[in-house]
Amino acid sequence: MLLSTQAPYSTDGLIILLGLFLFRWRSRFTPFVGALILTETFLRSVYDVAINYSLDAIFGGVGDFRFLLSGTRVWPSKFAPGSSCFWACPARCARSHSPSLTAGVSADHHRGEFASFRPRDDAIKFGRPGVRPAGPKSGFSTSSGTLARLISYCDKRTPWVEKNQCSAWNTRIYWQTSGSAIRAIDRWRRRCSISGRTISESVTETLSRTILAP
Amino acid sequence: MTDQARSLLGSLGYFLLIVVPVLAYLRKRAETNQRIVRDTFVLWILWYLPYAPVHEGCHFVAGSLAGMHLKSHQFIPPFGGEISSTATSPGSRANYGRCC
Repeated sequence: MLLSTQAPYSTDGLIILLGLFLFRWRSRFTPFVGALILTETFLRSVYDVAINYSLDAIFGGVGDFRFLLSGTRVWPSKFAPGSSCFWACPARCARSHSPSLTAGVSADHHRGEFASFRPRDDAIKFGRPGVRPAGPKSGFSTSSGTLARLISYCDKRTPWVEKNQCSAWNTRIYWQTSGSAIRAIDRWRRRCSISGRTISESVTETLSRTILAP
Repeated sequence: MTDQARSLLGSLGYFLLIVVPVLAYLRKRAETNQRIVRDTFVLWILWYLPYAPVHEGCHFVAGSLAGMHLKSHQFIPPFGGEISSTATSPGSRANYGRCC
């Protein structure tokens, strides 16, 4: 994501070098060609950096510089999993909100963050909404099952989306990073543990039982 | 900040960072006022058309090289609609950036 986000600005540097080369190659262009080279090399690059930086850093935009300056590895959207308790401790988060999630209904609390989380599709795969999925026999089994469903849903149905955006003109591309579920489990493993077994084992077991099994 | 406000700031930035230096350059090259107006308009078109596609194209090339998967894109600025976008995955565009 970092490589993708900074790519246009690295290209701007190369374009400036191209402009320098052109002006050194031919010292005298016609006024229009000179202005064209000036516009497309130096000024375009300065504009690209300046406008995206100012809109994100000063005016609170959500473009490339918002990500680059955030110091995070994922897009700092308020809808991202890192926004609330989700990353802090998924077990605690799931316990707090599992009644809604396990019941197959989006809670009001999650209506913004997980507005598109519609477990009814997953009910085909995971069982009826409201029915506790078969999971590890631990105190967090329900949470693990719920989180596994959430991982699966977000990763396969409406994937975790990261975004590159040019702030000024609202052009953007959306990425689905392929290893989001794996990263989530790794992150959870670092932050949470269950006595006798880590939550990643629980989640992995649930994942393998419910998703990966044919 | 709305899309219109960002576009307005983008236009203002274009005027300050591109139009003003180009006008100064063309005046220094002793162009007539008529040619300056014409060149400025042509340069605006030549600057604007490739700007966003090049910017997003760089994102695309670098992301593709890094193994990322493109889900959707808007390479051309939307003017009143998102006709230039392409959703490559099932589900509505409204879902992007909302779920998780």
